[in-house]
Amino acid sequence: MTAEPDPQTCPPLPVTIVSGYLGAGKTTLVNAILAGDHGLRIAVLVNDFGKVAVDEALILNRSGDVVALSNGCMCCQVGGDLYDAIDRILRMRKRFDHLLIETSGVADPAKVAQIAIAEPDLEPACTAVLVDAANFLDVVNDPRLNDTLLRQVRAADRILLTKTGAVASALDELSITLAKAGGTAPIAVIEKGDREAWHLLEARERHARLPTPGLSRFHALPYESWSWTGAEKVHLGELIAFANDPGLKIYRLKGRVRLKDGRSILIHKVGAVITVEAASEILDKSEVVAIGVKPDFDPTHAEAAWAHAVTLREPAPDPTSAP
Amino acid sequence: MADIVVYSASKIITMDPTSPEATHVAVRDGRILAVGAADCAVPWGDFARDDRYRDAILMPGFVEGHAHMMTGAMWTYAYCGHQDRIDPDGRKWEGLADIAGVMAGLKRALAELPPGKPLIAWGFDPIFLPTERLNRHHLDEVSREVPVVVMHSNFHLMTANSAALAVVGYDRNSNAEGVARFEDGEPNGELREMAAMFPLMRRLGVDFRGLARTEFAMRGFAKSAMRVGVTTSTDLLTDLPEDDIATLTALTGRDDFQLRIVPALNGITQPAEGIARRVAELRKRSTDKLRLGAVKLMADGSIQGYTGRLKWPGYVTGHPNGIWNTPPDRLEEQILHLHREGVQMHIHVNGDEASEAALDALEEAQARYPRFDHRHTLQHCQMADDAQFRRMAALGVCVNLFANHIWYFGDQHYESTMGPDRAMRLDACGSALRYGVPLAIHSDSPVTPLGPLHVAWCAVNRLTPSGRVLGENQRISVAAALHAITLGAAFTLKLDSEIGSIETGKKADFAVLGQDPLAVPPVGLKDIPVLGTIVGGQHFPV
Repeated sequence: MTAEPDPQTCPPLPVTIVSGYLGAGKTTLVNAILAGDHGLRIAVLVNDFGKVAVDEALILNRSGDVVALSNGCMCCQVGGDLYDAIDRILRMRKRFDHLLIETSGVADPAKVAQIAIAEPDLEPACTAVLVDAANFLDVVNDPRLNDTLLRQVRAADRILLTKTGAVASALDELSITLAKAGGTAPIAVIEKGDREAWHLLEARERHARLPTPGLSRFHALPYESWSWTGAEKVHLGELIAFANDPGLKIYRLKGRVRLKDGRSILIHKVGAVITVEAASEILDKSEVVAIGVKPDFDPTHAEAAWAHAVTLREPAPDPTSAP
Repeated sequence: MADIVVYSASKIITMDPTSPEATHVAVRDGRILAVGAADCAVPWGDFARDDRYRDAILMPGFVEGHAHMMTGAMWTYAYCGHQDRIDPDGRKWEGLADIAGVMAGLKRALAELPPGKPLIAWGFDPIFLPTERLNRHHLDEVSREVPVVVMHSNFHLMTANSAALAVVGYDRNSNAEGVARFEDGEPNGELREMAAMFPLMRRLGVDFRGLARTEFAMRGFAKSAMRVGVTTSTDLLTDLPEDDIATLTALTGRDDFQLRIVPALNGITQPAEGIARRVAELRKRSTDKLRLGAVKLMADGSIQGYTGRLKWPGYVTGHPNGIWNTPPDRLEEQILHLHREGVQMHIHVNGDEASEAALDALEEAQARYPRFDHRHTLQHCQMADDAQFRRMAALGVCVNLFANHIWYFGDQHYESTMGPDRAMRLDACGSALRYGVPLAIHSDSPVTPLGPLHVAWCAVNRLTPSGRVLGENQRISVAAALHAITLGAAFTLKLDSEIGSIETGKKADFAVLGQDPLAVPPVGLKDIPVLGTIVGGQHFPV
């Protein structure tokens, strides 16, 4: 006798989050994913207004805010409550292999990811934050939006740059801005209408720092970043030695650092020039960001060098103070 | 016999500047036929005389410009707040002063609970309890078998017992940020923010928003309104699906339904053209006691939840700035187009950066599509400074201030959100009046309890639980506060030609009071007994 499959035994539904400000290309990416040759039954929740502009050829039927696609996918526009919509999807758990959430332009994707972390029937897969390369630097300078955008960047497991064609020259500044914002995620460029974009669904958060087969096809930017935040006090000599270490290939470094001697300083390195100045306030923690060109600059090497040279190793005892 | 009834009262406060006071009011066909002395109806022919309100004070029925239908849904669950509350059916729920009291109250509620149901309680606020923080061990003493969930009054936190945590499987290995822990790493029962609460709520079938759409909630809301003298209330934010419109139309069409309802459509679910079409269609379906066509937009979150958008220097505690509910660019786009289409908007703005964004958009809208008497209303608008009030006046914008916050959250704003100076201008009713901005004041029930006299008391006295007077120069007179809860609120709903004052031709909507609010000491305003309401000539005694 075969029993009905128990819904309790369904594995958790993987959740991929696509976030980013208005115009970053979220809907374009979602459509590219839906149109891909993935064989997955994807439920899409669009937490924003506007018709879901799915390729008409794919549409099986429309009913209110729900669009059913011929490949088993479903797209639902969520005007009000995202939780209600997730609850409805989970009631139809067996109909889907994946949940894709397109957040609103001002959402904090970290909060959306918390839903997938807390809910046992969901499994957080990956948070991709789209950054409009043509406009991000302008928008991020709007004081009303600065913190919202930086919050998104910090929440990303993947940063995907869109609209890069016209602004290749600005990518350097953009990647530095993103790294300074605390975005530790790998940065990649995604082209409009990429038929392979659905490979994003294969990304898993725990692999965030590792290349995945699906993402290797995206054109990776040549920059990598490394950052550190901590309450430990740092020895200035060690800090400068770290920044200058020729083996690490740090192109740019910026930090606000508490020193062992009690001072708080700002440090900048651009190319070969290092400047150190007093901070305008007493810091209660230190932050350091370093950027370099791949593959010469390797964040894991920087991490190891930092842990070894600056935070863990006590400075050599001063022989003159020996008893 | 006569279809005209003349009611006598100890005093009638009309809110009509031509004749501010009267002793008699004549009613025919649910409308006010005449106001004045005992002979006011004589020119109209035969009339009957009804003296049941002989010793009472009659005022225009109060108008709640910002509340939610969810008010009526809450009573599905057990109340466990620190203040006494009266439920829609008149049952008094005693305030619970400490954790032992909360536990005893929950045990009483458990005894009344049908078997197999979880115990859900609401209204709990740890701020008011001097003892240790409620945790799962306290609730385990209420029951080890039945899931027990205590929703905090801010709706952002809940405390669950071990049986409830087990329903989700929350344990020391849970990764969710919102699962709070004891020092030993075990969950302490507190679940913070919706992401962590949602798995438990969906498993226990707790759905406050869904409940708000039931007939039970709508009837409860109307009964609660009647108990505090409200005859017209908004339900400020709903998607208004057809089912709800049908239920509301049927209910409000009954003579025994105690409330006129003004639901506000969520105005951000589709582009402005679509909203404008829906509004035009909804307006045609308005009935006597159901007024459709209002629209609400949401700019930011709440100040006490640190999700309100603040201008520099931000939160006094250094919390990061709050969240936009709608991107400011999109808010502007929506405001421009809805304004062009002639749709009146109620715009939720708590922090001063949000109110500024709304004013910027409204200024642009007025420059492009000038329009008189649009009555767009900034809702809550708790941190606006005088410069913003001057802009509201210049742009013809109304304001509905959340005066109840002064009592319920004023100390918190003073100490841990805005700091003393900005907290003094919290819900600056005085500034609104100084610059001639049309003013309403509200409860945002169920965020704070429904009760216009309490809201008015806040605006007049600006007292906080710690005994502060929070901004003495923003206090307003009793007369101005009474205007704000009647004609002022009616004006923001574009209903001031029909309700809000006792004038010939208007709806026969009255609040029946036990004392004269213009005669009691201002500090006693909130304690004036409400004896009932009259809605369209129908009597609803408490």
